[in-house]
Formats: sequence, C-alpha cells, structure tokens
Amino acid sequence: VIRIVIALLSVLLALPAEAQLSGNQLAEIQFGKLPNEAADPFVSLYDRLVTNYFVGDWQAGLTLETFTSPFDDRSYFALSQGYVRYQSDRWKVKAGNLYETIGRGLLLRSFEVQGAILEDIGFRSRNYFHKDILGLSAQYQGDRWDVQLLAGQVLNNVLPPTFDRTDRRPDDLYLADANVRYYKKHSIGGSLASLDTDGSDAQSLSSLRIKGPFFLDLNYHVEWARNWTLDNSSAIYTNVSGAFGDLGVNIEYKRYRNFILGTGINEPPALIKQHTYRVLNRSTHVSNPASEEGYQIDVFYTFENGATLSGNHAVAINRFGTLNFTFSEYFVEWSSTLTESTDYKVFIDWAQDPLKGESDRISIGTYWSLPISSTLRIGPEVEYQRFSRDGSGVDNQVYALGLKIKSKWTATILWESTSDPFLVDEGSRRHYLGGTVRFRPTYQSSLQLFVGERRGGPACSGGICYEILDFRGVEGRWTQRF
Amino acid sequence: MLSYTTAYSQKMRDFTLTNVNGDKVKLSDIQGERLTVVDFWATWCKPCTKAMPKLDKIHKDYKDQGLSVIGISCDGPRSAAKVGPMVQSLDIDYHILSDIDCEVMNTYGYQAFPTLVVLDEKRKVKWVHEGFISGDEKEIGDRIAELLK
Repeated sequence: VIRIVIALLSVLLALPAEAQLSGNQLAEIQFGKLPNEAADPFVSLYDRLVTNYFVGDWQAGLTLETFTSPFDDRSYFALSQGYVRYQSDRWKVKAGNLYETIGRGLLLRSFEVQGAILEDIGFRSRNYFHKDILGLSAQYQGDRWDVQLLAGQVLNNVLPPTFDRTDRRPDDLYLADANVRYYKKHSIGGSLASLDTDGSDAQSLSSLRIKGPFFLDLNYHVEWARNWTLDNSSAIYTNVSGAFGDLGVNIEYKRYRNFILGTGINEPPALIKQHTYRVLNRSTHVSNPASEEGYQIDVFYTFENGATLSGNHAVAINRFGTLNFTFSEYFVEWSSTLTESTDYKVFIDWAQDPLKGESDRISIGTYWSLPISSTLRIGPEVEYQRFSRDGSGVDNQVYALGLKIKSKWTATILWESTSDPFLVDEGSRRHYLGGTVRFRPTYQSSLQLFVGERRGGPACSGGICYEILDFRGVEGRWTQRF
Repeated sequence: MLSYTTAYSQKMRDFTLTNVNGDKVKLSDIQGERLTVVDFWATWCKPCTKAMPKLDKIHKDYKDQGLSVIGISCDGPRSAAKVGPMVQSLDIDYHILSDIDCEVMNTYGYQAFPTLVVLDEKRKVKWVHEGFISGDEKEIGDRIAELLK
C-alpha cells in the first residue's frame, strides 16, 4: 500500500497545476471472535484508504481495501474503487466507480454508509458497506431540464472482495433518465432501463415521476415503476408533505409487487421510521419489495422553547400466497431541554410484527445529557422492550452511561440484557457488557477502543438496514483525514 | 503552482445541488463573503435537528459580517420527503440543499452527523466540528466570531 501511495503521490505532486490531494483512512483491528463460535479468538485487520485528486473541473480517485486474518480464504488486498469525474456548470460526467440514485430509488439506488464495515456470517470477510456502480454516467443540466445516460455493473455487496468481479457485479444496467420542470415548481421525469443479470434475457424497466406544490404549503411526489418483462411487477410510491406553522406533516404510501430487480439494484423507500434508539433500531421492519403495501404518517411539532414532539405511525402488509402479515407501529417522542444545557428525550413505541412473531411489542426509554462542569458531561440512557412470542414474554434491556470531556474524549459503558429464546435457553438471560473510549486529538483524526461483548442483529444507518454480527473481544479503530 | 494541501487548508470544491424548492443552487453563488458554514445533517439524526435552530441564530447574528450557513441534507430516498416539512417546522432561514447520494460529504470523508465545516472566502477549510450537544453552540459561535475578526 505504502509503495503504491508513494508512487501515486510522486506523479501527482509533479503535475504543474493548481491541484489538491485529499483522502481518508479507516483502519480497524480486532482480537476476538463470535461469542458462540468454537474457534479461538484471532487477530484481524481491516484497512481502507481513499484518495481524491482535484484539478480544475476534474477529479480522480482510488480506493485501496485490505483485510488480513489467519484464514486465507477471508483475506484480500484489492484496488476496490477508481474513478475519473468531470463537472462543469452544465455537465457531470463520471467514469469508473460511481454512485447514482434515480428518483426515490424504485429503479436504482446506490449508496455508501459512512464508517460502516460489513461482515457476512457466511463469508466472515470484512469489507466497506457500500453499493456502487462500475461504469459510465453522463448528465447534462439545462435551466429547466436535465438528461442522464448511465451504463454500468451494480455491486452485489453481500459478496466480499475475495470473489471475482464477475461474481460481485452480475447486473448489467443501461439507463436513460430525463426531468423537465414544466411549470413553476412542477416537474415531470422518467427513466427507461435495460437490466441483464448473469447473462440472462434483458429485462425492460421504466419509471415515471411527477412532483410539485399541491395547495397551501403542501408538496406531492408520485413515482411509478414497472418491469415489463415480468408479470405483475411494479412499484408505486407517493407522498404529500408540508408544514402548517410549527407543525410538519409527511404522509407516504407504497405498493411494491414482485419488484426486486436483479440481485437488488433498487431499494424502494421502506416507509418505516429509522430509529436511533438501540432497541427500536434493532427491531426495524425491513421492507420487502417482493410484496409490500402500506403507508407512513410522520408529524413533528416544534415548540417556542425549542422542544419537539414527534409522532410516527406506519403500516406494512406483506402477502405470501394466501398469508398476510401486517406490521404496524406507533411511536411518540418528546425531546426538550431542562436547563440551558441539559437535554433529555423520552420515547414510547408500540408495534405488532407478525413476520418476526412479535406481538404487542412495547418499547420505552429515555436519554439524558447532563453537564457536570464546563468541560465534562454525562449521558445516562435506559431502554426497555417487551413483547410476546408464541405466548411467552420476551424482554430486552439497555443501560448506557456516556462521558464526554470537551470535544476530545468520549467514553461509554453499555450493558444489554435479553431473555429472547432465539438467543438464550428459555427462562434464562444473556448479558452483553462493553465499553468504548474515543479520542479525537485533532479534527482530522480519531482513535477508538472497544472492549467487551457487542450484541449483533439488524441495524439501520443512513436509511439502509444490514446485519451486524455479535462480537466478543477487543477492537481498535483509527480514522484519519488528510 | 501546485498547492499540496492537508485537511487544515483543504479546499471545498464548487458543487451544484437542489434546494427544498427544487431549484438548482451552486455553492459559489450562496457562500458567504467571508465565512461559510456547511452543515451535513439528516432528518433521522436528533443532534442534527437540535443544532439547526442554534445555527440559525448564529447565522442571524453574523450574516451582516459576511457569514453564510448552508445545510446539506444527506437524507436518502427513505427520508427525503421529511426534509421540507422539518425545515419549515424548525423555522430555518438559511439555505437547505439536498444530496440524496451524500456525495459531497463522502468526497471529503466526513463520517459523523452532524458535521459542521467552516470555510473561508476561498472555500478553504478553517474548522470542523462533529456531533452536537447543548452548549456546543457557544463553542461554534466563539470560533466563528474569532474567524471573522
């Protein structure tokens, strides 16, 4: 890595132009194992180095990614991304690895979840959590219209870089997209696409979307997509949103039928609130574009003193043959300040989740941030969740205490406890205790150390849900921007 | 001549994004005459929405001295519809732009929400602040006042 970086720097620094080289580095070392696996604890190292080079309207970059462990089949060293980009007032042209989302993601959604490392239980390798496209994209932006052409191979990010490129990028996509702002703030757009997965017959896709102001202060967005090659394969998403004084409202509706494209190049909006509270984040209903219909109502009110009251209600119906599973959730949160610098939040959530076999799931919790002195703050956090599965009561508990010294040091002790029979023998409990210390010597770098046991499970970040594995051991993480 | 830069003097490149009204907006057209605060945020991030009214006050206090505040929402398709109503509910006056792929934030390797990046008139990075808890507005306001001196 060092040789390549030095060679790259030598070339770039020799260029006689006003230019900028920047980048970032993420390294994570682990000593430990999955708590339930028979293997002895082992050391593994993940490292990702991103470099970006800017000159005039041009930008280029390379990403190196490596994972080293005692197991050869999990380890790799890869030049995982490379790109060249040109951007002017009118043109945006990208070649190489790129990210593009069309509309609300019914046809195409690529993403990068900052700082997240993915480890699949089947492969046990570790790689950065992102879904990009390897190809070419050209976009022209007029005053009231834009047009885009894209051709590329979409990453199936479940497979780590230990697999060949052809295995990891089985979806060949060709797409044309255009948008026109036809009257004031009203616009209409559409896409035509062809998708070829693993050399099979190409599928013909299209989408149409309209958006604009409604009446009063409301706005609407309607998007419809269709796979013309398969029977009964379509997706509809619509929303109406706006504000009445300090009250903000957002109402969304979805209907997805047989609409998983390729290995999953799209991600229609889930219309399920992404919670930051630990018990709720882990319980998030994951949308299934194969068959899902539902709606979400989101309201939030800001009081004169800055306090906010938020409410959310979501319904999602999954149909499998003659079976219907209806997920529903009600969530209320109050967030306020007691004194000038004492914050607190309280939430309550009630849900029915028949797909997970969880009924009458109630979750409550509170989080505080209290000043002890001008440089020291503490943050106690308590969450409790209880539901019924097959007639038995199950509970999850979270207790955390955070400590923050200026902006440089933070420390958190987290204790989780569960009686979930999926994780422990009936009638017993399992505990997870871990501590994290984070030090930020400068705003470009941070060092983090975790010791203990971490509970895995589903996690949602940046609107994307994925699976985190349990871990017991020691983990150090270093991030650096330059 | 080439100016090899570190994050201390890293320059944020010009970019064009869409605002909450659907208009395309260029950074160079709305940046401050002397300082620009770029705030990367998302509707699902509580500290972000906590910070925004405080940033709005800082913006009002210093805009006459050449400060501009620009909020860049990194909400993806899942929560993009909430950006407009949340900004109205919070009564935010400064520019709010939408970056559904979070391309600008990812380009510079920022990983926390919210991340505040303070730029000078040449868009060179002068200061970065990650996260937000009550009381941080004093540190942010003090640093901006110092940079405006």
